[in-house]
Amino acid sequence: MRLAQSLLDKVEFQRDNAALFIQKAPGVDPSGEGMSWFGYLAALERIKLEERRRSELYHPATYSELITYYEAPIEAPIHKSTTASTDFEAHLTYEEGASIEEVLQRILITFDKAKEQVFEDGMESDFSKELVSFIKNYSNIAVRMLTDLILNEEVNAEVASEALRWLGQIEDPKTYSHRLWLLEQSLYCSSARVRDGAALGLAFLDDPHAIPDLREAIQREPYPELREDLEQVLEQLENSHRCRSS
Amino acid sequence: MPFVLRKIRKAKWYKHRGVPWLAQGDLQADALGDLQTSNNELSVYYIESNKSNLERVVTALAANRDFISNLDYALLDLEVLSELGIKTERRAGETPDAQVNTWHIDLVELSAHKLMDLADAIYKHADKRRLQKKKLIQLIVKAVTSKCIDGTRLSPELSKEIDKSLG
Repeated sequence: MRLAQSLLDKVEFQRDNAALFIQKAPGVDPSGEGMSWFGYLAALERIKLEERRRSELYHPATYSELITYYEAPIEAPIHKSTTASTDFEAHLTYEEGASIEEVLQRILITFDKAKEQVFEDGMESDFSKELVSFIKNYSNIAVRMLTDLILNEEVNAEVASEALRWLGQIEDPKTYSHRLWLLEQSLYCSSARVRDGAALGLAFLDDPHAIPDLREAIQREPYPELREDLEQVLEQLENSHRCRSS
Repeated sequence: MPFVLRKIRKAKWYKHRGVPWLAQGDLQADALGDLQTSNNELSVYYIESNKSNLERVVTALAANRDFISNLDYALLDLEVLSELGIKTERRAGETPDAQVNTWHIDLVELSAHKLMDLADAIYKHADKRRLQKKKLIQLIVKAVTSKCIDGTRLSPELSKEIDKSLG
């Protein structure tokens, strides 16, 4: 995975032991729509390069927070993530010849092609196979891309819903916390179909961590049938929680 | 009154309040994807009026897939089919449960108009339900153990999940 040096040089950031603050990332976001992971990845790449330049041994670090500011004066961050510790190594998985822009392009093409498919629960599809392969090959970078596409509602709702179901099923411990976070946040998307996909993904993961978000989503859910389904998932997770703590 | 069961994806059948752009009483076009015909026929299952065979049918349908997932279905009064003039033919199903296969029905000679009427009837009158994966695992394990389901006919991925549950 690589970003052009000219883009890396433009990124301004600060960091401490807990957080990475991205202040400026001009030109790093090709979509121009605040896809903060470009700035984020660029900052990670810069840290790695600078440490190498100083001949310091590069130590993978983790941050519990990623905060992105693009404009000054700063009143509120445009993006604040408290999702999970960030594993540098997982984000900097290097694939010869594949740029971030190329990977994003491939994901977008996959989502676009999938608009024509009719998905069936319990059955694999061309889309699901490609999605699983993206996660296996690009790990959290792919999850970050999916996060931006789904939460910014830039992709077809039915395809996003299918993606969320699969994100709950994939067995990949490295991306687990990011997938869980994406599923939890997708409960607040404007499309009922996406919220449904998120609920199903969470049912697959069966992680009681999602209980507070599910409770919140149930309170907000305007549609009675979906509310019932959310309640069903909540009940399942509460049972799992009881079983694990007894 | 008996019912017919059709596998669906519930979210495609959300009504007006769940889909802001949808006019009152109108149906999402994607719902028709759940009624994809082949040779102008559509596969459904017969459900007794007291729903005594419902659990067995959904278990067999869930076991007839690549892997275990939630199962969404719609239950519609059988009588509605005759009101819509839809012809039915009993034909053997293809699930791993031989008994369930005898409850399979094909809706035949479906025209586009009839299919739209059927979609409208499902939208307005059918009871739409969901069974979660965890519940379905229990049901399939029970059905395999009691030999209702032929375990050799399960997909490899599904067999693996069932074996894991059986310990």
